[in-house]
Amino acid sequence: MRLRKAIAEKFTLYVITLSVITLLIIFTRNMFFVSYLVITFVLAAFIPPLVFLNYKVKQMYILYGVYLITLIGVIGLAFRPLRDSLPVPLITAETSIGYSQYYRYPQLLDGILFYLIVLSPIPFFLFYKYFSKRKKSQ
Amino acid sequence: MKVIRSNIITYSILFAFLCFLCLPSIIALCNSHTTLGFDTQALIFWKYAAEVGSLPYKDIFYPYGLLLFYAGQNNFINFIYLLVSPISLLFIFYIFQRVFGQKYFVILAFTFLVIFIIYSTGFETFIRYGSLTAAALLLVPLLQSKGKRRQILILSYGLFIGLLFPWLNDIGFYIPQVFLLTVVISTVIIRFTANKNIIKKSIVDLILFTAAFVFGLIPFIAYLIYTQSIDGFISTLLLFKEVASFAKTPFFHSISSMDNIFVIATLLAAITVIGITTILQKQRLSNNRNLQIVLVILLLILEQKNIVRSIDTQITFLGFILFVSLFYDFMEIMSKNGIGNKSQLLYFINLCIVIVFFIGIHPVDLNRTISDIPLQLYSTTHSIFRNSCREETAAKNISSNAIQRNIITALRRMPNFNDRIFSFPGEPIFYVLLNQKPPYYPSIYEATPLFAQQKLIKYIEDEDIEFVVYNANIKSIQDEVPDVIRGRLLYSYIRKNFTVIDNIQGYLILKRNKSEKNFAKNMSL
Repeated sequence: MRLRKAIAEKFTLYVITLSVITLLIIFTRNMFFVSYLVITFVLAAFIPPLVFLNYKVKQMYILYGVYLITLIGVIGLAFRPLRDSLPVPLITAETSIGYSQYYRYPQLLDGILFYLIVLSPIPFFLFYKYFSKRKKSQ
Repeated sequence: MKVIRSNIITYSILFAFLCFLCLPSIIALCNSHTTLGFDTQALIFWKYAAEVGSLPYKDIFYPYGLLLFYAGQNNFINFIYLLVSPISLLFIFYIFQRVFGQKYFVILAFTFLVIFIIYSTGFETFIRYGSLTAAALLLVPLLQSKGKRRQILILSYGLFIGLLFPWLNDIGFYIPQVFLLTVVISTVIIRFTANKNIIKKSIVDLILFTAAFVFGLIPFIAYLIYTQSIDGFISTLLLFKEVASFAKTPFFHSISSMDNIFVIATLLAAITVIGITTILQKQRLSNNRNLQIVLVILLLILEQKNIVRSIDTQITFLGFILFVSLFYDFMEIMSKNGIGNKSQLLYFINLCIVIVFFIGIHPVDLNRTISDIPLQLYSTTHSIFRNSCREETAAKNISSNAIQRNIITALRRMPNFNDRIFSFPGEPIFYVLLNQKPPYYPSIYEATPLFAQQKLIKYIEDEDIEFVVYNANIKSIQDEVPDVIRGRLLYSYIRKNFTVIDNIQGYLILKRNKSEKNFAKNMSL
C-alpha cells in the first residue's frame, strides 16, 4: 500500500525516468547496449500495472500467476509425448499430401494446445468465483 | 450543427492526409518483381491472368477477391483499391473516437497505429487485414444500439458484408463468424452480469444478419451464373477446406517470433481483463469491453489461420489495437490513484515508441518505401495510365531472368514447339513469358488436392501441350515435401506420357511420347 502511494505520488518522476531510457534507446548506436536498455525499459514499464493491481484480490492474482505458469510448463513438458501419441493423418489413395501427411505431424495438436493456453483464464475465473462463493456461504 | 460541421471538416482533412500516406501502395499495383520466388511468381501470374481476360473461379484459381485481382488493370478499380486503406483507417479512427473519450489519447493512439502500419505491417497487407479489422470493429457501435435502430443497423451491416464478399473475400468469410461469436458471447456475458435473458433478441439479430448477408450475396451469385463460374467457385471452396489439411506446418516452432509473443501476450491480457471484469466483478459491457471482445474473437479466428500457416507479421497490428484498448482501461485505474492525465499520456507515448520500434517486431522493407517512392510512384502511375503494366513487368522479368529466357529460346528452336508448355512443379512465369493461356492453378502447391491435379492434367490434354519444363533443381516447392509426392497423380501422368529430351541448367525438357497421346486422351480422368 505504501509503495502504491509512493509510486502514485512520484509518477511524474517515474515517467520522466522512463522517457530518459526511451531517449537513450533511440540515440544509442551500440545494439548491445540498446538490447539491455530495452530490457530495463520493459521491466520498468511493468511496475505501474503490478503496483496498481486491486490488492483486495491479491491472493487471486498470485493463484492466477501460478496457474498460468504451471499450465504453460506442463504443456511445454508434455508437448513431445503428446505429439508422438496423438493420431497422425491417415493417408489413402484420395488424400492430399502436405507437411502433416508427409512428416506424420498431428494436425490438431498445435490448435488444441494454443486454445488451451489462450482460453485458460476463463475456466480459472469461473472456478475461482465458484470456490470463493462456497467459502463465503460456509 | 456546428459539431457536425466540425466533424465533417476533421474527417475530410484526416481522409485527405491518410490518402496521401497510402499513396505508396499504388506502387504494388504494377510492381516489377525482380526476384522470382514462389509467391512472387504466383502474384505475377495472377496479374497476367487478369490482363489476358481469365475469369477468377472459372478460368483460374484466385483466393484474394476480385478487387485485388483487377487492381492494376482497371483505373476505376485501382482508385477503389487505393481507397481501401484510408477508408479502413477512417473507420478505425471513428471507433477510437466512440470508444476512447479522451481527445488527446485518441489522437496519440491513432497516430501510433498509423506509424505501426507504415513501419511494420505495410499498406499492401493492411488492405487485406485492415479492411477486415475495420469491418469487425463496426460491430462495437452496433452492439451498443437498441430497438429499431439496432435492427436497421444489423440489416445494413449484413447487406454491406454480403456486398463486399466478392471484392474482399476475407471480409465475407470471417465477419459472419465474428458476428455470430460476438452475439453469442455478449448474450452469455449480459446474462451473467446483468441477469438479463436476451436469447430471443440475439436470435433475431442473427436471423436479420444472415438474411441481409444472403441478400447482399445475390449480385455475386448472379455474376457466377452469368460467367458460368459456379463450378469453379465450388471447387475453390473445396480447396479452402483442404488447405487447412495440406498447408499445415508446425506452429510452436515459430512461436518465438516477437510478433507472435506480442500478439499472444496482448490476447492473454485481454482475455484476463474480460474474465476479471465480467466473471468476478460483474461489470456491464462498456464500449471498450465490446471492442476488446470483438478484437479477441477476430484474433482467435485469425490465429487459427496463423497456426495452419504463419501470418504472424501480418496481424501484429491487431495486437497493437488491443494493447491501446487495454491501456485505456489502465488509465482509469491510474486516474483513480490520482495520477495526472499528462503523465499517463507520456507513459503511453514511451510504451508505444518502444513497442513500435524497439522490441523486435518485424519491420516492413522500408528501403523501397522511403527512398524510391517518388520515382516508382511516377513510373507505376505512368504504366497504369498507358495500360502497359503487364508488358513492362514481363519485359523486366525477361531481362532479369536469364535461365527462363534461355529455356524459352531453346524450346523455340525445337520442332513442333507450339509456344505452349506445362511447368512442373510450377513456375508460372513461363506462361507469362510465352503469353500462353494459363492453367487453373499456378503451381503444384495450390494443386495439392487430387481433384486439382486432375484439372491440370485436363489442361495439358485440352491445350495440346507437347512440352513440359521440369525444374529438377528444386525437390520441394514448399514445406520440404517432395513435389513428386505432393503432386503424385500429375507426376505419374507426366512420367507416363512425356520423355526427357534435354537438360538446360537443371531444367529437364520433356516431350510428349507420340504413341502415348491417344492413350492419354483415353485415360479416365
